[in-house]
Amino acid sequence: MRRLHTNYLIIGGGPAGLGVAKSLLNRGEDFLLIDGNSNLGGSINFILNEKLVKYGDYQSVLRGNLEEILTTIDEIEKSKNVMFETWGIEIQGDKVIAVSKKEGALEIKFDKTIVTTGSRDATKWEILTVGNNVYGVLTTKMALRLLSRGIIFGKEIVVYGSRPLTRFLVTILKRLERENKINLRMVIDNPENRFYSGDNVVIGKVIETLGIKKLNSIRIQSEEGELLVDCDSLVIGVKGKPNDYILKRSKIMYDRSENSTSHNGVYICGEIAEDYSYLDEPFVFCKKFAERL
Amino acid sequence: MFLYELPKEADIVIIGAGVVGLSLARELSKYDVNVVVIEKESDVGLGLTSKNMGVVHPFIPQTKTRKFELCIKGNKLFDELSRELSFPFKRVGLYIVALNLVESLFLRFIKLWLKIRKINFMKVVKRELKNLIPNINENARYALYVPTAGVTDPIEFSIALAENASKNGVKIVLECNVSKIVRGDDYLKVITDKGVITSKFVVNAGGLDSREIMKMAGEKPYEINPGLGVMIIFEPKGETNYHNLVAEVPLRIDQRTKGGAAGVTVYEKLIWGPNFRDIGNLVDEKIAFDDIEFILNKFSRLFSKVSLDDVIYFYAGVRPASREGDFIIEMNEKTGFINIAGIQSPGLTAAPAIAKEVIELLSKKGFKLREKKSFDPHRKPIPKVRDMSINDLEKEIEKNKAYGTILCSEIPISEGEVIEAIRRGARTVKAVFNRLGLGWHPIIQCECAVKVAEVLSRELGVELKDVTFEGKGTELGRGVL
Repeated sequence: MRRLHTNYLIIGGGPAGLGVAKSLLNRGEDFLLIDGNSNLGGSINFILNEKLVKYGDYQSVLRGNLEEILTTIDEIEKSKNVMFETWGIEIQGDKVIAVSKKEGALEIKFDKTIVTTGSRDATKWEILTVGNNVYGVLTTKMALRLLSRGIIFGKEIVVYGSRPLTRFLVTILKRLERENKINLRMVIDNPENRFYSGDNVVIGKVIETLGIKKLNSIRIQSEEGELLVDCDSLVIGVKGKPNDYILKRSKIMYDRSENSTSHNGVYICGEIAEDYSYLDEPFVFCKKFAERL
Repeated sequence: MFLYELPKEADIVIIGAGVVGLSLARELSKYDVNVVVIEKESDVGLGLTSKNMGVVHPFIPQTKTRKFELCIKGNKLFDELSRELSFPFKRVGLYIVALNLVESLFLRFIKLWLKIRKINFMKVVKRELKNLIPNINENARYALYVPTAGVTDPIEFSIALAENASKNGVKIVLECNVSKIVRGDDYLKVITDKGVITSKFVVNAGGLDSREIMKMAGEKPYEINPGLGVMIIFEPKGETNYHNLVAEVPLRIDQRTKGGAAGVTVYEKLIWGPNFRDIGNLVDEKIAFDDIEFILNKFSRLFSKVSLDDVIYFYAGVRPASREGDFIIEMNEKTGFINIAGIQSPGLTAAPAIAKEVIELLSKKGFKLREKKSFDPHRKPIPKVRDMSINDLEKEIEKNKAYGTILCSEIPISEGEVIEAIRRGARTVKAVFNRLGLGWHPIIQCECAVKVAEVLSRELGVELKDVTFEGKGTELGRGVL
C-alpha cells in the first residue's frame, strides 16, 4: 500500500476545495487535493460541459468570478498537488485511507485535512413527499448528469425548488422548451424566491408523486388549494444535504455552523457546512477560511 | 443466470420468482427434477418479497393456524440457509415492552402463552431495560426478550436462492407473463407471452397475482381483504439508536396483522411499521401522509427521544390477506395445480418451510424425487468494498482492478461490485442495487444511479437512454439533446 504525507489534505475538488487550494498555493504551502473525477471543478463541470454550455445560462449560479475559478482549476491541475480518481474512504487519526484508480489503496498522513465534499439534493423521502414510489423522480444532479450525456429524461417536466444548480437546470430546460422538445413547469416552496417567473410557476409544496411504477402526476399544495399536475418527470432541488459520509464513517462529529470538528486537525468548509445561494460563494468563503489555517 | 425465452417442457413450473417460489425452486433443485420458474417482472424478488420489514418472526399470535406452524419451522431454518447462501441474517431479538400497569399484566399472560408454546424468552426488568435500550420510554416497567427473532434482507435472500437454484439446474425466465393455464390428461399447459410450456405440475406462487393465476387455471379464487402496510426507514443517530426489534404489548389481536414494531434492518438502519389500512385493490401502493403520522405516533411512545428529521426512505406493500387470514397451500389432485396463496406476514419467515411442505405434497401424490448427487448448496456473496478492511481491499484490487474505482463515495460502492452484479444477471439499475444490499435505499434518486446506468450501458452494449431503472417503461431517457 502506498503511503503519502502532506501538510494539508483537501478532500474534494469542487469550488470549496479549490478555494482552500488557491489560498494554500498563494502561500506556497505543501498540500494535496484529492477528487473522485478525472478533472477538477465539481459541479462547475456541469456548467462547462460541452453539451450543456450552449443551453445553460450560468449567470443564474455564478454571481462572481468564473475566471478566477477557472484559473485556479488550471493552476492546480498543472501542479503536482492533485490526485484524480481518488476517493477518501475513512479518516483514522492523522491518516486518511483512500482508494485511487491508478494506485489502489493509499494511506495519506496529514497535519490538517479539510473536507470539502459539498452537498447533494434531498430525495423525495427526505422532504416527506408521499404518494407512490415511482420512477421519473430525479434529483437535480441526476438530471444534469443525464443531460450532460445528451439524454432528455422526460417530456412533461416539473422542477421543484430553486437551489443554485436547480436554477441552472431550469435555464437549460427553458431552452429545450423553446425548441419544443419538452414542456416545463416550476414549483417553488419559498414565496420569497423570485428566481422563476411566468405562468408556469406555482408557489407551493409537492406533496404527492403518483403513478404505478412510472410517474404520471403530482399533487401540489398551493395557496389556491390542491393542484393535480400531469407530468412524467419531477426534478427535486429544494433542500441540500451535506455529503458527510467520510465524517460519519470515521465517527467524527461536526456542527454545520463551524469549520472545526470533534477531531483535531479535521475541518469542513463549503456546502458540506453551509447552504450557499451561488456556486462561487463556497470558493470565496473557503479561500478566506484557508487563510486562517 | 436468467432466461428470456421459455423452454417447451418442465416437470414443475413455478409461477412467481418471489421468496416463496424461489425457496421452493431451490429446494427442488436438490432433486433430479426439471424446474422452470416464470416471472413477469424484470428481476426476481420485486413483488411482496421486497415490501416487508425483513423480519424473521419467532412466533405469531394467531395460533391454531398453518401459518403459525410454518413460521416456527421456517425461523429455525434461517441460520443454515444464510450460511449456505451467504445472505445477511441476524438474530437481533425482540423486546415486548410494557409501558403501564395494564400492559404489564397482559405481559404476564403473554409469558404464559410463550411458555406453553415452548418459545424461548427472558424477563427484563426496568433497570436492565434502560441499560439495553438507553432511549426506551421512562415509563417502561417491564419487558420480555425473545432471542430467536431475526432480521434479514429478503431481496438478497431471494437473489441468493435464485443464483443457487440456477447453479443447480433450475431455469428462471424473466419478463414472461402468464395468460392462461390449460389442463391436459396428465399434464398442464401454461400459456404465456413468450410461448407455451407443458408441465406435470404447476405451482402458483404469484403473490399479489395468485388470485388471477387461480382464475387462469379455472380454480375458484379465495376471498381477499387487502390492506396496505407502510414502513419508514430512519438513519440512526447516537442517542436515539437501538439494535433490536422493539414492540408494544398487543392488547388486541387482529387476524390480519401483528401490529408491527420499531425495528432495525440487517444493515443497522432503524425501521418502523407496518400499519394496516384497508384498501380496495391490489395494485396501488399509494402512501398517505396519515400513514406516516400513524406510524410515527404509534412507535414514538416506546422511546423517550425521537428524531423525525432522520427519515431517509419509506415504502409500502399490499397485504393480500385472505378472509380467514391463514395461508392456503393445497394441490388440486386431479390436475396437479398447486396453490400457494394468501401469503402475507409471516410469509418471509415461513418460506423455507412452505417449500418443504410443497415437496411433501408432491411426494404424497407419488411424484418421485431422487436426490441429485451434484447438488451444491453454496453460493458466494458479491464482495463489497463497504465490508472490506483496507488490506482486504488492496487484495481485491490486485485481483480485480475495477474494485479500485469508486462510483459512489457515500456507501461506498466500487465499479467492481457493480460489474459483478451485472455478471450475475442484473440488467436494470434497480437490479444492480438489489444485489448490493441497497434495495431499501434512496440511492435510486442519487447521481450514483446514473453512474450505475452508465456501467450497465457499457457492459450490456446498450445505449444509455435505453437502460432502465426497473424494466420496460422506466427507461432513463425519452430523447436526445
